[in-house]
Amino acid sequence: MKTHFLLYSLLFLLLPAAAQIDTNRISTDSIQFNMQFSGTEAMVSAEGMEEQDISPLLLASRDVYAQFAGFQFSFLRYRARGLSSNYNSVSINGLCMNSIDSRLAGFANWSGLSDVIRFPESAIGIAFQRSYYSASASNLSFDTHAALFKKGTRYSYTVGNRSFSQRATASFFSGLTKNNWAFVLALSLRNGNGVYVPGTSLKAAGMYASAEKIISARHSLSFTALLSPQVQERASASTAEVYALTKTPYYNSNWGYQVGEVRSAAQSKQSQPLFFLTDIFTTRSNARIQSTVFYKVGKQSYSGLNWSDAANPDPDYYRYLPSNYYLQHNQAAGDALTADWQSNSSVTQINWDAMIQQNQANLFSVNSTGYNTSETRSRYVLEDRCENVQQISLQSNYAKRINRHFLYSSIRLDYLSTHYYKTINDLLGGSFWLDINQFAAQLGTDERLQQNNIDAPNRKVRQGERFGYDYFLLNKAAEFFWGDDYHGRKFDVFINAVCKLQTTQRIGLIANGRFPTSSKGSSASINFVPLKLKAGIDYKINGRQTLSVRSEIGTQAPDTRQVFISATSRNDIIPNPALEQILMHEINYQLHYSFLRARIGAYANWQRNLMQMRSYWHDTYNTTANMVVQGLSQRQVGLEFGLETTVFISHVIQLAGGIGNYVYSRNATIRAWNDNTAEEIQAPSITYIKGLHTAASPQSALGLSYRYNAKRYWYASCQLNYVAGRYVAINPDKRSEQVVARYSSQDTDLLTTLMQQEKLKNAFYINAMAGKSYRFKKKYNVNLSLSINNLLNSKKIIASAYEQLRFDVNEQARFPNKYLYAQGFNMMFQAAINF
Amino acid sequence: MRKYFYCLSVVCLLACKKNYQLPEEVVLAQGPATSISQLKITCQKNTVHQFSTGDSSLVLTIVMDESSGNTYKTVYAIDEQGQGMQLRLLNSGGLYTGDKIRMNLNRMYLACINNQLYFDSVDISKSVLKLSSGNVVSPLSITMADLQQHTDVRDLENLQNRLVRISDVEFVSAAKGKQLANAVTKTSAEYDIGLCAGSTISVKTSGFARFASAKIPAGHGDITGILNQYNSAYTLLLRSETEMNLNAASCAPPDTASLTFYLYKDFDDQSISSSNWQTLSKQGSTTFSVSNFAQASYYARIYNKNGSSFEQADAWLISPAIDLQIANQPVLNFKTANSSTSASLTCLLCSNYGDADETWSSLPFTIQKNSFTYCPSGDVDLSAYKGKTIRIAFRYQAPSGSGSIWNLDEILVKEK
Repeated sequence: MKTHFLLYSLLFLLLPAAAQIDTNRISTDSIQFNMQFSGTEAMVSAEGMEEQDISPLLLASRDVYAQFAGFQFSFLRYRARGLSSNYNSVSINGLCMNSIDSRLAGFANWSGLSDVIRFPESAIGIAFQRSYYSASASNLSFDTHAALFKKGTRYSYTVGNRSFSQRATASFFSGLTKNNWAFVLALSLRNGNGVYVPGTSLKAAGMYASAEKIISARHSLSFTALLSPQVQERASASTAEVYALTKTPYYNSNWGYQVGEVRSAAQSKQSQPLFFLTDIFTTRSNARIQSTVFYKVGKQSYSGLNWSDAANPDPDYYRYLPSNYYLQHNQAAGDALTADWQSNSSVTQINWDAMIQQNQANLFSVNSTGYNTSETRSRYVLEDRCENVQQISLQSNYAKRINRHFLYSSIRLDYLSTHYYKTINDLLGGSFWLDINQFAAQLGTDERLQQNNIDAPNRKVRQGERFGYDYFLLNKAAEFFWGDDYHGRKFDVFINAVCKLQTTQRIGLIANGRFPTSSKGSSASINFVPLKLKAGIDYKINGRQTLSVRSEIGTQAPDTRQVFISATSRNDIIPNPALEQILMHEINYQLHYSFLRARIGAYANWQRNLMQMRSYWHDTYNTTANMVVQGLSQRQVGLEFGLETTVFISHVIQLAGGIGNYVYSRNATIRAWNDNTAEEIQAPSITYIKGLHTAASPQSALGLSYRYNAKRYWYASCQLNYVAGRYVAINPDKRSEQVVARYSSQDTDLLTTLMQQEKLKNAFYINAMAGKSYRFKKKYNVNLSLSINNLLNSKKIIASAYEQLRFDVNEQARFPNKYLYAQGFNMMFQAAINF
Repeated sequence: MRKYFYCLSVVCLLACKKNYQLPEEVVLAQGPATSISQLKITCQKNTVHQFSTGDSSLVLTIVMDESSGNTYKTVYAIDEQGQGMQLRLLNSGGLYTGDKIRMNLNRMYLACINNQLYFDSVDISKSVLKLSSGNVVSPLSITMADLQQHTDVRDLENLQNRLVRISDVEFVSAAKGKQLANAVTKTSAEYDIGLCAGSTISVKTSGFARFASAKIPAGHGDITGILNQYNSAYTLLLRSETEMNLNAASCAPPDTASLTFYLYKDFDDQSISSSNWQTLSKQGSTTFSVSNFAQASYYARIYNKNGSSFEQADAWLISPAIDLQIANQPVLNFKTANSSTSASLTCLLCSNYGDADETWSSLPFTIQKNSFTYCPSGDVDLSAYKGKTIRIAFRYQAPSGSGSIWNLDEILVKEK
């Protein structure tokens, strides 16, 4: 116990704070592999990008292509088969963890717990699962039952210069005790402070506790609790002009100095513990019944600056850039600003001191009445956009083997409540924030129009208080899953099907002045009944070769957070929210010899009726617009392959790659509403996107790896990677019928520029790894590993890019594309001891 | 137990919020006091003077801020003697009506150009200290006769930049009933107000003013605002439409003949629904939208083709309420074009919109079949509805399996 205490003390001394989203993880089972999610993965998603953009590809997969996709190509956001992250499923104890609203898996909920969150089962592509319907691109199944872990203790310590600089973990496994109990306790801490990108930081802890009671040979009961609180300060994407001015690819506009201290405005916090109570019972007829009660409760928040009656504090706001003046042919002003950008940190970064001083000076009387010499109204505040989540899920799964058949089915019920609101994180020197919507000022002279809460007009909001918007989104779902897999001598066959009833509703807690009758109270319920079916057949040509064909067809609910035109302000639902349609096919040929493992596959996927809802400033209409793109169709076709050969026992060579074509297969429909008035400012019109590439993933990648396994328990490896076919994520609005018509009648050259989708440069990078294991006193196992990414230190590789939604129809260059750069040379060294 | 303690420690560690030190508050140097009167006396015509002789202070009270939208980056203030000053700000925001401020004039610019007196490029974070807020300033009561004298800005009796209430005035007949400015196109407008017979002053309103769409009252009374001046001409800037206290009987009968229109919609703002126009699809998804395809300007367009098929449609485009209270002989005018009349377009009128027994009656108009050349509707007589509030609507009806394009533009209700 003393030893444990001392080690804990050391751990805490070493780590004043810790963390990140799960961007680096070394599996104890496969320590030679190293996930290469770059620093950019930890960066904040900006306009149009998903919050949780973490590739979930498979750590422990035996599939060579999956290993490269997960550890090598993911450096540049490669995703198998070009499918977005909500086509990857994750389960814990047989319960699918993908959220029922967004279909995204919350990796941050268990980040840092890699010692205990293992991956005993993984699949890529269309595959069957026996307790739930898995997603189309990939699936990970975790098992957290304590009895699975052998007795032992493990400590590890990692240093690096990636998203975190230090990580320490400690795990304790009781094994099965005499009383048939098993316990696991694991802790981890991670921290990093401006490790690669200035102004970013990570603090995270991970806690895992699990207890399992083996009641009898046929019955066990287990309880698991997971908690990964974390605080992260994120980076921003910027334009090429800004990177050129600052002469660094790691410019981050989210931070600035406050009395000489670095402070970030973009901080995300998360603390959402997960609890699982699982009962496994095997009947006398050998049917297995697994029932799980799952509860998730907690909060996540994203901070950001808000301002009223003041200048935009974002340092790289387009009006503060030299290009704004050059476009107006004001060379002198542009040159002066260029000089400032190259020398003055109060210009290039957030000027906290100036904002605070403006707040401190702003004595204010509401409606200009009431003599006041002390209370100041904040013109700038740091606000937290909060999401309080509460989820209860019940699932019961029945599985039985009958001869060569496995038959199984599950019933699942979900209740998900998400409470959205804003609070004041910091008044920045002011006494209060006035709870009005400044953008509603133009709507008219009625004072109520500006009120965010008409029942509390002109409310002075103090530190920590709620303001702005306050509403719930409720999601309820009932799901029935059924499947059968047959394993014959020549053929393996499976079929999985799922039927779901899902309903979504918004409940507004306050009435705002813009929508006094539709902002408070319950919206209509939106119901979806998606159905999906997938099946596959594997033909075993012989014991070493297999040919498989698999298909999936069905419908799925859209992201239910996006079915409201403006959920922050009103209950109105977009017209005709429709189910998404999917159709997927794949064919694979596999070889499995002692000296050669290989797979080559082809796939073709179609998704139709996809939807995107976005809000942004629309320059044509001079208002914030709520834009929905409906009828999006995507197609992904391609080939993928991976092979591994072992030469003279110690030399392992791997080659893997994917060649794909991921495009929007049809034009879509776009329409938009004024955020403040519900006026439809853009009637349904065509957006000409057919043939443009989707940006969920690079289209193609090729990797070659050489690994040397030495006799004395050490290894070294090197990987050469080449990624191609990378495109900027498009803005559908700028290709709308109205914009195209405008240019087509005036300037065909401008139209050509408008319709083009920027292709990013192909990228080549080298990674390397090495490791060494020791064993001493016949008890202690020590593992040392070193991984290096981007050995050539190339800092010109763009990790991702997107077209800004804001668009000036008269001057296309005003809002150019934004980019995020991948990390240059970076490394991680880990020492671990098991006993 | 110690393990639990450490678990809790981790939670606490993450829950701790970092406290950042606040920068020191800006102290504004004071120097000797001055007044607007002194500045007026020393002001050189058509020059910009930069103060460079050290700190000096001027105490002002803001009488008009930017919150109404009628000014941008410009506020008006008076000093303790009641003299007025215009402050042109480097950045918008931060000064509000009722704020008492002390300005340090060192390195500031004082302009005296075109008989206008103002501080230019005022950076309130560097040159202004607020002393208090919520101070009440009453307007100076004047008459139109007071505006005829002391027009030189250097004259201490000059009323430039002051908050005034002008009594015994009304807008000229041509202005009555119009909107103060165009809130849709955001363009400014000027309308004269003055004595029943005699001198006038122009009321200038920005299209960005929150009250831009307020109608100009037809009555008589007083009006409060800021006196602006350019050379010898005064204009009045409104702070709020409620400061037009013009409810007494007018000294002139309404002159409806000079009204330009009661309703006008040309779709050139690229919005189908601006000015409270509504679209409605009673059947199918076909709806009116704005287009400029193959035409010189934007217009309303409707077509029931959905993909490769024609859908059955019943779509409406409904006008905002049209007030014909003071109308004499109102007429409706518009123009249409079509690819065919497989789908029909009818013009309807309703005088009890929103009532339980809401009824729409058809209005005849002229069309030309199968032509994308606009055909004027001709004057559709609305005199039967004068004194009422009406709405007009355009109804597009198409069968399934066939259809046609209709273009609609230049919808105008005016005096004949």
